[in-house]
Amino acid sequence: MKELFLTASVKDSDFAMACAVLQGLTWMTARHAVHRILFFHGQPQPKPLKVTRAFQQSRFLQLWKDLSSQLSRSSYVIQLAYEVGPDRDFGKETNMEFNALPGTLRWTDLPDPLRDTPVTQRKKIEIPEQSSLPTALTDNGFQYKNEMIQESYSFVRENVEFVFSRYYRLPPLDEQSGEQAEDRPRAALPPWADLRPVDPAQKWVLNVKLNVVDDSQPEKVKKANSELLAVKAELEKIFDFKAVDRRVFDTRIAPPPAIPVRG
Amino acid sequence: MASLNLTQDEFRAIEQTRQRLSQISSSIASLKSDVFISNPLPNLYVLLLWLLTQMLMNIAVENHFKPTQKSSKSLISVTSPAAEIFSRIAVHPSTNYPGRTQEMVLQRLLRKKPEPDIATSMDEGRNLVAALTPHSASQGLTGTSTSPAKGPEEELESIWNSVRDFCEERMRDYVINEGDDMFTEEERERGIENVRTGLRRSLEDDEEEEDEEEEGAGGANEDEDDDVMIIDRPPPPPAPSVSTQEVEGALLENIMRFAARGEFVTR
Repeated sequence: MKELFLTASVKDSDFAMACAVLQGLTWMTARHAVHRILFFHGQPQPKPLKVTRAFQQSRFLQLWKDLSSQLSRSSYVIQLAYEVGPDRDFGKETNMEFNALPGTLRWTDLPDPLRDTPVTQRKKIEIPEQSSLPTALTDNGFQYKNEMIQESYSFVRENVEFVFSRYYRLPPLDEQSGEQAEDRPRAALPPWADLRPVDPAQKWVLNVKLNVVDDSQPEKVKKANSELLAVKAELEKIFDFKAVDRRVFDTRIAPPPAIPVRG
Repeated sequence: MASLNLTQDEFRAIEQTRQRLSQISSSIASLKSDVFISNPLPNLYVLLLWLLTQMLMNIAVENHFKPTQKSSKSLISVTSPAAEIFSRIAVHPSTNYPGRTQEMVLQRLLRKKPEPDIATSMDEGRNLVAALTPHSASQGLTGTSTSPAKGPEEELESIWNSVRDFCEERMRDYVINEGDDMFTEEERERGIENVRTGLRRSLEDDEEEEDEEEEGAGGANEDEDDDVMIIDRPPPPPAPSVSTQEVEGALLENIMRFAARGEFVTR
């Protein structure tokens, strides 16, 4: 599957209005969702998924096979996303048993090299509603690295999806240990108010997304591309869609030296 | 024509009537097709008009074939000018008319009563009009062609009158009290210091006496970042200079990078 998207940032103070605009545009109220996202890093060397006991019965076996062939080319960071409820799962003593919960595995490739266009275009594999995801990954040498909370408001018009997202980190367990990485996901989530926004200014990232399921046909990808550019032209006055360097979305392990970034 | 024994006048009257009836018939047809085609449905008024016209048509047919009735009282302007003539003449087919082969046409033309289905719709129409104009029902349809039902009309008129009264009053109020107010109520609630006028010079100088009371509530926000968006105004396109303000907070790229890998790569 190919995923094409535009990227813009929206200041928190403008967010209500941006939502109002999209609400009018899409004739729907936003869907508010909060996801807990676990990051797993692959082994230093690329290897296919050999141990299959966790997903052998999966409805999406073909996707697993695709993923495996991608992982044999290069090692990647893989995301596991679990939907959580701000009222239900935060600040409670309830443990999340990830192997029992259905989650979504997300793998994205380095975006295709496209110059001077705000559209980012990349290969994507999403395996939804799968349980025992952490086992499936650790069986194959993946290692839990980190987690974050994604808050999103999404709108849909025809097949175009408008998603505002904001990311949060969990506060360190105790102040002395600081930012030290933990080797397993936190058992219980802290209260919502204790989350640390990734961006101190609490900006929202707006992605206008389009999926092309059959990415073997360049025509379809091209059509999706022009569709997104039409959306960009439509919203040009309101949102400042930016061309984002594709290396920003690099999820490969041992990528080439990162570009120098200020700040 | 000689065999018909009609004078020039009589013939002309019949001919005129025929033409006008044909006109009415075609305009009804077009109205009908309008009603069928138009989407959304035409408003009630047009529909009512259509109904009325249809009824008129029925009556017209009726009167046409009962020329001996008191046609002066009949509503139809079509036949009334020639009423006197129609009361005299008797129309019958010409001797050379192919009566056998065209029997159906002849029967239709010479029918004295409306056909059953027309009679039914005439009754319906009468009932409808009677329901609309309870007090003038006794008069039948006479005169209703030009002025539709009186009750609803009066009602409508009173509505329109009250609307006009309100508008006038509101406009007077606006001109006298609000016309020279430069700010909307919403802007005043948020404090007029925050209003983006696009001007360097403060507008407050011009209307000090009005502003005195609001200034207290408005708060003393001098920080220009606290500009309040006004909802009914489209957000200004991000100027190049403004977008650099984004350094307050993380760079978009860094946020995206974190979202992709779960870690900051800052090397």
